[in-house]
Amino acid sequence: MSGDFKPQELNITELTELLRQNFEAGDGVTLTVTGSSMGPYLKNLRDSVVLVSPEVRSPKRLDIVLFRRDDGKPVLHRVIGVKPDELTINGDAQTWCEKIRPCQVMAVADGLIRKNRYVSCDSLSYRLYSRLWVSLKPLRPAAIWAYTRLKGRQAKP
Amino acid sequence: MKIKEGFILRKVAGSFMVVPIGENAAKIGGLMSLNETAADIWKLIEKEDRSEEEIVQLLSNEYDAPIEEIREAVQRFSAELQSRGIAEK
Repeated sequence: MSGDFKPQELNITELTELLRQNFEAGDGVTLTVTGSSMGPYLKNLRDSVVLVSPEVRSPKRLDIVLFRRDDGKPVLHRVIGVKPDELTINGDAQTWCEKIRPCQVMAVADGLIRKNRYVSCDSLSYRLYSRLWVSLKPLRPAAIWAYTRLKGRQAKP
Repeated sequence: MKIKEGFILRKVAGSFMVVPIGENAAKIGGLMSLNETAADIWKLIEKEDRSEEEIVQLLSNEYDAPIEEIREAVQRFSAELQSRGIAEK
């Protein structure tokens, strides 16, 4: 058994090493969500993902993955298309996609910690949400606009 | 001994793992994976405070192993949990 619960700020090399060490030991890794590209479902600093090795859970359509961009930046977004040599990636709050090579995937989410509750990525409710959210992607700009307006209204005194 | 608030056991990709939630959640951190015996011990002390000997007795009803082996496993795991701040006596 191995494990480390100290909060850490890591660069890509340290992150890769942490993942490697834990995956080799058969352990998972939790990673706090930063940024708003996976909103509104996953919120910056509030939520986390539970990551496993891509060898243990092969990335499929609708999976959330941690991948390394060509510039070295680690990114946590959703797979919306799978081809033998190419994955199409998209953030839940984004309207644009990017294409990556399967070898760029560093880890795959097997569970989420959302509002302090554990959600398995295999749970029915989560899979329904993912499927629905991705299939409604063409309506996303309007939905995000409406959601932002609604939040704005609620924030008013 | 009882598991502290903020640590839960979940099956992650087929293995039992200790997931820290709430205040215990780190920005990034490794998750401890448990074998079946450890997971069984965990389940006994998740909601209830039990003594080590009580755990040994309950496990010996389930496991065929000699009681000394069970006792050793319980003591080892108990020490590990306490040193990581996951359980308290």
